[in-house]
Order: sequence, then structure tokens, then C-alpha cells
Amino acid sequence: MLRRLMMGTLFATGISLAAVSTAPADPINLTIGKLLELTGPLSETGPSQDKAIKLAIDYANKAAAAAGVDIKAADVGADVQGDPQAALSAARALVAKGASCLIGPSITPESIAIANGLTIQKKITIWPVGTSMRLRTIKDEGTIFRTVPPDSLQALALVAGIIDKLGTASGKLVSIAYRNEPYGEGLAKDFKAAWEAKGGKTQGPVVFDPNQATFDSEAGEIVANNPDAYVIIDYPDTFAKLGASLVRTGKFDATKLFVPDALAFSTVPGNIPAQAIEGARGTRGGTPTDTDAYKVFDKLWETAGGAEHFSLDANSFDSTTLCMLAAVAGKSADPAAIQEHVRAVTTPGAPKFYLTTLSDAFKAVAGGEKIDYVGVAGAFEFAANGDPTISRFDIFEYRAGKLAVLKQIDAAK
Amino acid sequence: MTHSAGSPAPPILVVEDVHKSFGGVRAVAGASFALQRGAITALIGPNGAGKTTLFDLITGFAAPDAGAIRFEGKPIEGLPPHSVTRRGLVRTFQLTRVFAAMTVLDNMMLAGRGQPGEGLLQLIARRTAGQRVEGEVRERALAALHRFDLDGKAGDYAGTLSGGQRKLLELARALMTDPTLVLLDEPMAGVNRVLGSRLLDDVEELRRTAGMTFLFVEHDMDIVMRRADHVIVMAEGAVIAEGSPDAIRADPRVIDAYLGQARSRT
Amino acid sequence: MIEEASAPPSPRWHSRLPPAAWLALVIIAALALLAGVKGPVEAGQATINGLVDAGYVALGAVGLTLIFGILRIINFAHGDFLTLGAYVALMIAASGLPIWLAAALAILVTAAVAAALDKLVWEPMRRMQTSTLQLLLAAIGIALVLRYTIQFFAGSQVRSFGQDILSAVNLGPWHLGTLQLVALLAGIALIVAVGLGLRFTAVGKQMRALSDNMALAEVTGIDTRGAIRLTWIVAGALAAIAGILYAAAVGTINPNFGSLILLSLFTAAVLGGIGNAYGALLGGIVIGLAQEWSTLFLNARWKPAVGFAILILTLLVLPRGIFGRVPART
Ligand SMILES: Nc1ncnc2c1ncn2[C@@H]1O[C@H](COP(=O)(O)OP(=O)(O)OP(=O)(O)O)[C@@H](O)[C@H]1O
Ligand SMILES: [Mg+2]
Repeated sequence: MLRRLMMGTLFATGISLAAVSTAPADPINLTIGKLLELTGPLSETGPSQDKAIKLAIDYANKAAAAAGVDIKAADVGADVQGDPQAALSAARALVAKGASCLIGPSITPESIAIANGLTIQKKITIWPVGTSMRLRTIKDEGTIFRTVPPDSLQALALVAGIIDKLGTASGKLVSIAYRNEPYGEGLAKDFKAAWEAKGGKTQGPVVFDPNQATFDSEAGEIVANNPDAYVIIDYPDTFAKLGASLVRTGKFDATKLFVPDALAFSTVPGNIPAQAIEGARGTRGGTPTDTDAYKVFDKLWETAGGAEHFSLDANSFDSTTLCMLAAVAGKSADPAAIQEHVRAVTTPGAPKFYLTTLSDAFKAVAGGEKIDYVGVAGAFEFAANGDPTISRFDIFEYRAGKLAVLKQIDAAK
Repeated sequence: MTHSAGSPAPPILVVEDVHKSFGGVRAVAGASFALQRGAITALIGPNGAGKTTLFDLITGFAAPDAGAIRFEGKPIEGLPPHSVTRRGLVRTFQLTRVFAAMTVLDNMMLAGRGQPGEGLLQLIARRTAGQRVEGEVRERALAALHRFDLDGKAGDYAGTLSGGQRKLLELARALMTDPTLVLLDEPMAGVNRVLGSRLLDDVEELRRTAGMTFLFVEHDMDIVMRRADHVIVMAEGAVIAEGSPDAIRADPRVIDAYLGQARSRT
Repeated sequence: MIEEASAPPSPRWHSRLPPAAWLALVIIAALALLAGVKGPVEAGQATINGLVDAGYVALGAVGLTLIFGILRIINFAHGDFLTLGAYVALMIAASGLPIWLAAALAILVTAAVAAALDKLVWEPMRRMQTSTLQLLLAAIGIALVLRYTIQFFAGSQVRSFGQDILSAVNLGPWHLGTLQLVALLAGIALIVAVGLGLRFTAVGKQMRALSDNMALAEVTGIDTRGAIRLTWIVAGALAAIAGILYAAAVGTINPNFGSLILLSLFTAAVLGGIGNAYGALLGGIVIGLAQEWSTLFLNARWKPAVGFAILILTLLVLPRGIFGRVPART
């Protein structure tokens, strides 16, 4: 009895001694802000984003506690409404509630508004789910970290996906169309360049304004000259209308259609006509599903119930985890300290840690080590601009209204 | 209402101690008078005496701050203008108004339609039976236009009429509503003398044949003296005198308040 | 002001016909030219698409033009009346009632809301003789309240009636959606009915009279308060019909759709000559054709810009719109 008591005291002392020697006694109370697309054009993504972040906080809190690292994260959330102004005021509300990291939003102009209007001055890191190339070049003073594949890489994935279907690019005509927004404009430009570099031909791009009643003229132009494939970069709300117009032309073949991640749904929404999308293929940021980390993640997701998987949910999950690791590395919930230490937990060449070894990762980081944390979505090698340099993509096909992943490819510059 | 034989017929309009201020301006301050049925009464007074405001109060374009107005024995203060019109009390405006974007004939016919008790829904329901009524209204309108020398203009837009022609159209249109009491605000202003005196001949004839009562505002003393049975004089919002034209001409208060000014003008 | 569109029975008819006839000639000539340059198939299809656009816009614009013409209110809430009509119909249909009944009820509800707003907002403001600016702000306020109320009850996600928007009518090499055709024909029929109603019915004449001179309408014996209320009821009902047809034919809507097309509605109303029902139709046709024809030569992203360029050009040539007349002397 006495021995056990002594052992317990010794053990406890050892832990506390170790803690004193590696970290300040102050516990870290970290608040993570969720910038969610709950309403607006991407409102389908909101619930899964929310769920991913909550699961990550839960899991990491437990892993840190198991490692004896004194960090406790909590979440606050706000709706960005798909609108830059609303996003900025949502971000303000979250920062007022003490958020040190902001996960989301999904639309690039929202991220830009938040970065320019708020987070750059306050050195708060923002982890957008937006994929536009414009995020690559804005002056963010190192506050933007993107775990999602940028569109330049997605353009290469689209090219690969179409070649996969047609056998070759050379001499094949692709009709390009996009909704008039930075996302489409950037991706269309990158795709056109990459497709033509492979010897393919393109027509268009047909650029359409989302707020119109009819898209019949646009649809007519897209199907003109009977192209070998169409690449249509659009969001679900507009595609519900454009898709109907395409079908009404009588010349549209959905199996020739290729779409990017904004039109990737596990189940096709009811208001998109089936004839407009059944058999179409597309690309989306892929999560390697054959890893142990993914299996843990998927299990968490399924046991939690609620929202279905959505493209990029693993990225929101990883962003949250990285923010917590960086806070431990910086020994503070201070946003600037987190910003300084993101690269310390994603250092190429350093010992690799995974979701399955997250507890050990916390311990190592708390001990002042540099690590290379590999997330569920893959390794993050942040370039100087905070973008990843290599990314995994799913190539999928819509079969009976459901998304079926055909294969995964790695796209790299 | 009954009254014993031999006593005079009850007045068609009674105005009792009516008040109206606009901000600090006391436009009408305790005006009282009664109009005898079938009479042609002139309302005179210097500019700004409150004559037009009094018309507005009687016809429902403004509600009096205090006082009572009774038409045919019934209170009408606070009624909307169209109800007053439908009861048979119609007015014209000092600054002439016409439906400029409608033809002269439509101006007339519109007034002929708004018969008392005719609601919007009845007007919709009446579409089929309406043809007959429409023909009858059209005939009355054309006859009235003829009387005022406007029949040549029936198909023209009222907006193209001259100032004098508009005055005539206003009177003609007022008569289309089948009134028993007509308030005319300076009907002769801008109308040539020949036409003006014909207009007054018509007024007298309507009084004689249809028993209509008229109250008119006029600044030309000659006309007032020749045409009115009775004269009411207003100054500073109150009725300061009334009586026969001859009595008024001799009343020192009126000379003081009004005639001196009028003489210097004419 | 509200004006009659067809010729009055006087020798002046010829001074009113030319704008419409002139316009028809321009449209036919342009169509012939386009068919020559781009081929009849493409030119014809763009023309059909333009007419479909015109149908959507024109029916929405009629109520707007009535309210401005008669009451001088620039009704910024009109687009949200369209949304209200469509959403009430959606909600009622979702409860299991047949779609036509849901639509009829929605039209009644929207008309009732318009009448209630007249009673609660516009009539008091009229009595206080408020300025145009105050009326404008009140309209914007109503628009926002309506929009957020709809959003509160229905959510902001995209919704649809679930009608078959894929079926198309093929006319030789040309095609248009069946529902688009229905919406177009219903729109034209309603606009003509409104135009005839204003010109020939007693109520229509009363509305025109009170738009011309409110005080005079009163002494003429017209119940202006009732006629104004009726104007709002008609405008509300037309907006609801426009919103329902739009939602059914376009396929999907969200609570912002009405406010987003409001600008097109204004353009059509102003282009046609404000206050004129047929003007709204013609204005819609000009805008619709110009925008869709432009896609034969320009990228579709320029469509909205082309619409406004046409508006500005037309107003330079015809400052009061196609059906607007020279002002009467006053
Ligand atoms: N709506 C109003 N607001 C402010 N003051 C008014 C208004 N209407 C009338 N008044 C004022 O009331 C007074 C009486 O005006 P009213 O028009 O009744 O005079 P009038 O006797 O008809 O004059 P005239 O012979 O010049 O037509 C004037 O001082 C006028 O300025
Ligand atoms: Mg006066």
C-alpha cells in the first residue's frame, strides 16, 4: 500500500518535473474559430466542415491529455454565407470570442476579405478551404495556410482525368465554360494551358453570369461543334439551371462532362437534373483512403453520425490538428506564436507523425522537437506562400446519382 | 327632417365656427355661415382670407381643427372627398386641374361614372350592363361639351387645352357628377369676358331649371354685384359680413377690409 | 403616369403608333441581318432565347410599372413580392396540396400582403405627404423585411417546384423548354389583359385618372383610397404569378432571386416607358433580344452589360422610353 503510494507520488513528481522542464506551467486554452458555409451557394459543405473541426478538436484534446500536454481547445462558429462581407463580420465575431485560428472559409473572395480586413493586422492564421490561385499571390504576410490542393494542381488532375477517358489529348476538342468568378477564371486558364500543352484543342471559354433567368444561349455555345469533352466549372445552384438548359439543347452528352471539386457531391442534389450529370466525371481533392490515418478518421466520422463525408472534410480536420500542434510548439494560444510555429510541425525531413501517433506528436512538440506531421489528407509541405506543393486527387464518376471514386492520382508541379 | 309650412326651407349647407391652422397660420378662424338652397352666393375677401381653405374643408380635402359642417342636414366634416362628391357637393379648383393624359371626353365621362353608391366591385361586375350606361353618359358628356364650346376638342388630350378651355372643362366636368351644390373657386379667372358671361348664364339657368345651388369665389366686384343673390365676405379666416350685394357694397367693414383694396386694383 | 397604349379614337393615332412599329421594323431587320451573318439556326435560337428572357422580365415589370405610374412609388420591394409568391406556393405545395391550388393561394396571399402594406405603410405615408426619398427608403425597408422573413421561414437553400424543366418543344432546328413556352405565353396574355383592363374597364380608367391627378380624381367621385388599394392588390397578384412562373420554368430559386432580377425589371419598365403595361413587354423584348443576340458575337459574360448599354442608348434617343409620350402642357 505504502509502496504503491510512493510509486504514485514518484510517478506524479516525475511527470510534473518533466512538464516543468519542457513547458511553462500555464495551460494553453485555445479557441478555434469555424468559418462555416451554412447558407449561400456552398451551404451543402457547412455541416461536414463543422463536424470535421469538432471531431479534430475532440480527438486532439484527448491525445494531448494522454500525452500529459496541457492544452485544451474549444470551438466557436459563425456563418460566412458565401459572401465576403458576411465572412468578414463572421470572422470579427469569432476573433472577439477569442479565436486564435480560423478554419475555413470555402470561397476565395471570403478568405481575401478576411485576410485584408482583419487577420493580417492581428497575425491570426487562417486555414481556408478555398482552392483558387488568387490566394497564392495575395500579400498575407504568412498568415494563410492552405491544406487543400490549389487549382493549378487540380487543372493538371482534370487533364489527367480526361486523358484517362479519351486515351489521348492530342487533337481532342474540349469546350470550356465557367461561372464568372475568380475560382472558375483561374482554373479555366490553368486547364486550357495544360490541355493545349498536351496537344489538345479548346473552345470557349463560355463565361456566364450566375444571376440570370436562362442559360440557353450559353448552353448552345457549350455544345456547339460537338466537342470531345466539356469542362464546366460551376457551383450547384447555377448548375441546376445551366444543366437543364444543356439537356434542352438536345445535343448534350453528360458522359462527356468533366467537373471540378465545386460540383463534387456524394449524392447529386435533387434540383440538378440527372440527365445533366449522370455519367459525368470529375476531380476533387482526394484523401488517401488506404492509410491507417484515414481508417481512424473514417471510423470517427461514422461513429459520430450526422453529416456525410464531403470533399475536403479531411483538410478541415487536419488544419485544426495543425493549429493545435503549432500552439503547443509555440507554448501559447497567442495567434502570432501559432503562426511562427506552423512550419515547426510540418518540417520536411523531420520525424514523421500521423493521426495514429498524435499523442506522441504532442509529446515531441512539447519537448521542443521539430516534426513532420502527416495529416489524413496527406503530407503538408507548405511553400513560402503557404500552399501545398503536391496533392492527391480523386477522379470520380457519377453513377446512379452517387459519386464513385475511380482512382486517385498525385498531381505535382 | 320636417318643418312647419310657411317657415323658410332649411339651408343646404351650414358651416359653424370652423377653424383650420397650418402651423402658425390661422387660415380659417371661426367661420360661420349658411347657404340657402337654390341661391347663387358669392364668397369674397382679400387674398389669403381663407376662401380656398374653406372650400378644402367643406369638400373633405382637409379636416377642420374644430367646428361643424353640415350638408343637407348631415355632418360631412372628415368625410373623404369622393364621398362628399357622391353626396352631390362638387367643387372646382382655383388652380385648374384636368386629367392631362386623358381625352377631354374621358375627363367628362369619368366624372359621369362616379355615381353615388357605386363601389369598385360593382363597377367591375357592371361591365356587361355597363355598355348601356356608358352610351348614356357619353351623350350627356357630349351635350355638356357642346354647351361650353368644347365639342371640337372631345378627342384631344386635356393636357393640350388652353388655360381658359381648362376652366370650362372643369365646370363642365363638375356638372357631370349631378351635383346639388357646386363650389366654384374663381371660375372666371383667365376666361374671356364673352365666354365668362355665358358661363354665368349657364349657372343661372342650371339654378333655375335643375334647382342647383352655387357658391363662387370671385374677385371681380362687377360680376359679383350683377350675378350674386347673396354675398359672404371673409377676412383673416372669419366671415365679417354677409347680405345682399347692395348691403355689402354699403357696409363700412367690408369697405375697410376689402373694397378699398379691390378698388385700387380695378 | 399610366397611359393607354393603343390609339385613341382620334386622328392622332399616327403619332402614337410609330415607336412600336418602328421597333418591330428594327427587330425584323436585325433578325434578317443576323440570319444572314450567323445562319438562320443560330440567329433563330438566340431570338427564341431572348423572347423567353423577355417573358420572365416583362410580367415582373408590369406590376412595377403600374405602381410607379399610378402611385409614384419606386417599389424596391417588388422583386421580393415575386419571391414571396413563389415561396408561399412552394411551401403550400410542400404540404401536399396540388400545385395549381398552391399557386392560387399564393397569389391571394401575396395580394393580401401588398394590400396590408398599403394600409400599414403607404397610406399613412401618403397622408403625411412624405417625399420621394422617404417613400424610396420605406420600399427598401419593406424589401429587406420581406426577404429576411422569407429566409427565416424557408431557409436560404436553393429550392425547386420539381417540375419537369427538361422537356423541350422542338420547332424544326429550334427548341425551347415547354415550361418556358408556358411562362412566355401566360406572361404575354396577362400583360395584354392588364393593358386592356387599364384602357377599357371603369377601374382601369379610374386608376389612370388618379395617376394623372389625385385631387381631381377625388372630386370626380373616385374612391382613390379603394382604387389605390386595388392597384396594390393587382400588382401583388401579378408579382406572385410572375414569381411562380419564373420559379417553375427556371427550375430553382433562392430567397434572393426576386431582388436579383429587380434591376432587369426596372430596365424593362423604364425602357418601355414607365407606367405602360405594353411598354414593360416591349422593354423586356428589347433587353432580352439584345442580350441573347449579343452572345452570337460576344462572350456571354457581357450579357448584363449589353442590357444596360441598350437602356442608355434607348433613353438617349427616346428619353421617355418606347411608349413614353411628350409631356402634356401644364
Ligand atoms: N397647406 C397650407 N399650408 C400652409 N399654409 C396654408 C396652406 N393652405 C393655405 N395656407 C395659408 O392660409 C391662408 C389662406 O389661404 P387661402 O388659399 O385659403 O386664401 P384665399 O382666400 O383662397 O386667397 P386667394 O384669394 O389668394 O386665393 C394663407 O395665408 C395661406 O398661406
Ligand atoms: Mg383662393
